[in-house]
Amino acid sequence: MLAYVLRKLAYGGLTVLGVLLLIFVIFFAMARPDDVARRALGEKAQGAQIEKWKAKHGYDKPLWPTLAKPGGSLLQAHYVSLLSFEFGNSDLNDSPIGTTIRDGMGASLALTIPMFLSGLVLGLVLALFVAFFRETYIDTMGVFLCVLGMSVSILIYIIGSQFVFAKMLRWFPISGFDTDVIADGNWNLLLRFLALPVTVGVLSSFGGDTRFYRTVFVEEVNRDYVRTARAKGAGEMRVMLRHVLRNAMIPILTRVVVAIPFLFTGSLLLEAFFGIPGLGSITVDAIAGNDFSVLRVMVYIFALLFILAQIATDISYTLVDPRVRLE
Amino acid sequence: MSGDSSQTAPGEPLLRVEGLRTWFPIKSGVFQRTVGHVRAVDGVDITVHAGETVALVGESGCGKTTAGRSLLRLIEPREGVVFFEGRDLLKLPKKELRDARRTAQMVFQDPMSSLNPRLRVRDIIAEGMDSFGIGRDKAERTERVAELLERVQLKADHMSRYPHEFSGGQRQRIGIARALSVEPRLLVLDEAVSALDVSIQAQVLNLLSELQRDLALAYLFITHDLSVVRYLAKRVCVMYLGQVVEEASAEELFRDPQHPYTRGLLSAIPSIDPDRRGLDVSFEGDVPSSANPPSGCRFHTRCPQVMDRCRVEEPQLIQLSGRQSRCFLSEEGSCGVSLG
Amino acid sequence: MESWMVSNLVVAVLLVGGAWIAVAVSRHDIWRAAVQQVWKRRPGAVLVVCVYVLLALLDSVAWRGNVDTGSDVVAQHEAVTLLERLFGDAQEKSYSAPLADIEFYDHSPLKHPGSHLFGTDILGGDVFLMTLKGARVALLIGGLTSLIAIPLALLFGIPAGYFGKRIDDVVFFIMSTLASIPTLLLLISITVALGRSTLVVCFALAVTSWVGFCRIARGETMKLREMDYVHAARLMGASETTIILRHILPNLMHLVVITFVLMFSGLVLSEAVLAWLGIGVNGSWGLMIAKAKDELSRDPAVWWNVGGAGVGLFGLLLAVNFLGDAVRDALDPRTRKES
Repeated sequence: MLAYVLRKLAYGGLTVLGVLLLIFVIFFAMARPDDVARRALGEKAQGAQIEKWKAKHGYDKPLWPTLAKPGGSLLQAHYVSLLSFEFGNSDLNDSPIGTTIRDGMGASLALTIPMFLSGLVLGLVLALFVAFFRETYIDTMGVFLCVLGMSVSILIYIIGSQFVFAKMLRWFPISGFDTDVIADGNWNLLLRFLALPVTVGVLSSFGGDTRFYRTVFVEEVNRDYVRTARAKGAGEMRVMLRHVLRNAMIPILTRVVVAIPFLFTGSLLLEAFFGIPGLGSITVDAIAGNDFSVLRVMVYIFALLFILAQIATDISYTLVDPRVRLE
Repeated sequence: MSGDSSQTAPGEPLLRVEGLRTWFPIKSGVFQRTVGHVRAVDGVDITVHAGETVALVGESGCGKTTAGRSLLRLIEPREGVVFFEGRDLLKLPKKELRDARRTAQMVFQDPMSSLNPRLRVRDIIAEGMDSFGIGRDKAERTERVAELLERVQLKADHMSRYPHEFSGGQRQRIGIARALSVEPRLLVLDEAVSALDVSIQAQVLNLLSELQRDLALAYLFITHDLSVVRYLAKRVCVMYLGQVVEEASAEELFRDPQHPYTRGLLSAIPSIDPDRRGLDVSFEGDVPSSANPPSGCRFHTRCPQVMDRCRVEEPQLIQLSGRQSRCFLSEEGSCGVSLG
Repeated sequence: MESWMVSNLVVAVLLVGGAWIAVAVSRHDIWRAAVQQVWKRRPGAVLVVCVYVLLALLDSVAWRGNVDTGSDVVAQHEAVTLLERLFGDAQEKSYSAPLADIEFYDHSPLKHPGSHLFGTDILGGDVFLMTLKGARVALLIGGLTSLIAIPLALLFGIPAGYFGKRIDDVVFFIMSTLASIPTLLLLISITVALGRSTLVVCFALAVTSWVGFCRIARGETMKLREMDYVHAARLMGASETTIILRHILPNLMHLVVITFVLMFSGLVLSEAVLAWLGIGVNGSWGLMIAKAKDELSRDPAVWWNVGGAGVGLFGLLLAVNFLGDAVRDALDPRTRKES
C-alpha cells in the first residue's frame, strides 16, 4: 500500500519534469525568443531593440545547455523558476505573475465549485433515474436528450443564454463580477452574478456526463450480483442505491477526480464571456496579448493540479475497491 | 510431405526436453523489483520419439500449456535443454530458431482465437509456405492449400472463406492443415480437442491418428482429459504444479498407476467397469499456488497417503522398470492401494 | 500549383479512395454486415452525414471562369467552387434579415429580395451559403486532424503494446505527460506558439487527441499479441513486421473507425472554441459564432448569423454522435461505452 502510493508519487514527479520539458519545447523552441520579442515589439523591431527586450525579460541566454557550457541556459532557468514557483513578472505589463494568479483563484473557485457540485449531483441523479427506467421510452428519451445536449457548442449555450435571459428577459446581468462581494458576503449579488454562468456550465457538460454515468449504471445493473440481490427480494430502489451506485464508484471516481483541477482553472470561456476575473480570464488575456510568460505558468499549474488529482484518484481507488488495496 | 533431411542421430529421440523451467516474475514495491516467481514449469523432462504420441496430462493450472509453449520458445523459458532434431532450441539465435522450429508446429486449443479473423483460409494456411519458401509460386501454394484442406476432410473451395464461417471442429481442422503446411515432424497439440463436442472430438482424433499413420508425425498431446489420452498416446507424462510426477506407457499407467495423484485423476474418469467403481480416491483442498509451492513433495497437501517424510523431503523421479514416479511409495516398491 | 487545384486533386483522390474502400467493404462480410447494421439502426444520421459530405465535396471542386450572376456576366479573378456556382449570385450590401426584401438597417431594397433563407451578414454575403460552406471546413478539420492523429497513435501504440518493456515505458511516459496538460490549454499553447493557420490548428488538435487512441491501440495490441493466431504466425516463421502488419493492424481497424467517428465531434467543437479565441480556421462555423457576440448586442440584434452556424454545427454533430454509437455497437459490441 505504502509502496503503491510512493510509486504513484514518484511517477507523478517524473511526469512533472516531462511536462516542463514539453512546455519548454512549445514556448521556447517552437516560438523562439526572437519571435516572441518581435511579436511584443511589432514586426518592424530592429535587432538592437529585440536584444534589449530579450535582456530585459531574461531571454538572452542560449536555449539548450551544451557540453562546453552546461549552466546558464534558458532550459535550466525555465526548470528552476517553475519548480521553485518563482514565476517572475509578466512580459506584457511587468506585473508579478504569482500575485495575479493568487488573486484570480478566488473568483474561479466561486464559479466552479457550485458548478461542479450541482453538475455532479444533477448528472448522477438523472443517470440513476434513466437507468432505473432502462429500456423504456424514458431511457430512450433521456439518452436522446443527452446526445442533443452534447451536440451543441458551448459557445451557443453561452451566447444564447446571455441573449435570452440577460438581454431579452433582463433576469440577470449579461456579465460582470465583483471580487469584493465574496469578501462582503453579499450573497444575493453573488447569486445574481453567478446564476447564469453556473447554469450554462452545468448545461454544457451534463449531456456527456449523464450518458457516461448511465452507461456505467446500466452495465452494473446487468451484473449477476445485482440479479441475485433482486432475486433475494431487495427492492429496485435499494438495489440501485446500495448495490449499483456503490459498485459504479470506480469509473465515476475516475471521471470526477480528474475534473477537480478544472475547479481551479475555472472555465476559460465562461469566465471570459461573463467577465469573471478568474484564472480563465487571465489565460484569455494572455492569449490575446501574446503573453507567453503567463501562459507558460498557467499550463504548468494546471498540469501540476491534474497530476496531483491523478495521484489522488489512484489512492482513492484503494479506499473504494478492496481489490486494488491488495496490489 | 516427408523426405525431410533429418538431423537426428540414430537412436536419438526427435524431441528431448530436460530440466525445462519457466518462471514468471512477481513484481512489487516502489521500483517494481522482482520479489518472487510463479514457477509455472519447474523442471520438466519429456522425450518424444519420431512417429510416436506422448501425452502431457494434468489439471488446468499445472503448467502443461506453458511447458508446451516454452519448449517451442513461444514463451521464453528460464533454463533447460530442448533438443529437437539434434539441436538445442533454447540456445539458437532468433534467426536460426525460426528455421529450426519449422518442423515443430502447434495446434491450439481455442478454435476462435487460433485463426486470424481478417484473413481468408487460403492465406491462413499458406502463410508458412510463403515465409519458408515452400512451393514455387502462388499457384502451386494454392494448389497445396487445396490438398491440405482435403487431407483434413474439408473442401478445397473452403479456402476463399473467412474463419467465422466455420464451426469449431472445422476450424480445428483448418488449424491442423496450417500446421501441416510446413511439413512438420512434431505437432504439439495443446488441448486441441478440448473445446469441441464429444462427437466432433472423436472425428478430429480419428483424423489425427490417420495423419500420424500417413505422415509419420510425432505428437505431444497436451490435455487435461485422460479418457482422450487412452486412445491416442503411447506414453503419458502426468504433471502436477510444474513438475512431472509420473511417466509411463499409456497401457501401464491406466492398468497400474503408481503416483497417488495419477490414481486420483484416473478415478475421476467415469467408468462402466464395476471393478473400478469402488476406487474413489478424491483429493481434498485446492491446488496450491505455484508461486509458493509446498515444501517437500508438492502434492503432500492433497495426498490421501501423505507421510511425515513427504512434508520435508522432496521426492525425485524414481526409476522403475520402463517408467518413473515422483513418490516415496514407489521407492519402497509398494503400490499403496491395491487395485481391484 | 494554386490551392484550388490542390483542392480538386484532393477531391479526386477522395473519390477514388472512397470507391476503393466501398469495394473493399462490400467484399469483406464482417465490414459489410457492420455497414448494414449501422444503416438499419440510424438511417437518418447516415443520410445527414452523407449530405454534409456531399456539400463539402461540392464546395471543394473549384475552377476559375465566368460566373453568370443573372444580370451580367462577370469575369472572376478567384476560383469559384461548384457549390457557389450552383447557388448563383447572392451578394447584397449589408445585413438583411431572413427572407427580407429590404436591408436591415438602412431599409434600402435588396438586389435579390426574399431569396436569403438565413439573411445576409455585415458584408452582404448570404448566410445560408456560408453555413453550407462551413461543412467543408468542419470535415476538413475532422479529417485532416484524424489523418495526423490516427497514424501517430498507431505508430506509438502498436510497438508499445507489442514489444512492451522499454518501448512501452517510453511511450507510456509520453502519453501521461501529454495527458496531464488540460486539452484546451495545450491546444492554445501550440497554436499560439506556432502561429495561426488551418494546418497548425489541425496539428494542435492531433497532438491533443492522439493520446486517447494511442492508449486504446496499445491495450488492444497487448491483448492481440497473446492471441493464438499470433503464436501460430510466429511458428510459421513470420517476422515481427509481418505479424504487426498482417495480424495486429488489421484487427485494430475496427477501433480506428470507431475512434474516428467518436473523435470527430470533439474536434469540431474544439475548433469552435479556438475560433472564439481568435485562433480558428477561416470560414468555420466557430468563427461565425464567435462574431455573433457583437452582432447580438446590436440593437435590434442580428441573430441569423449565429443561428445559421449553430444549425449547421448542431446538425452535423447530432448526426455524427448518433452515428458514432451505431458504429461502435456494430463493430465492437464488447467495448465499454465511454462518454
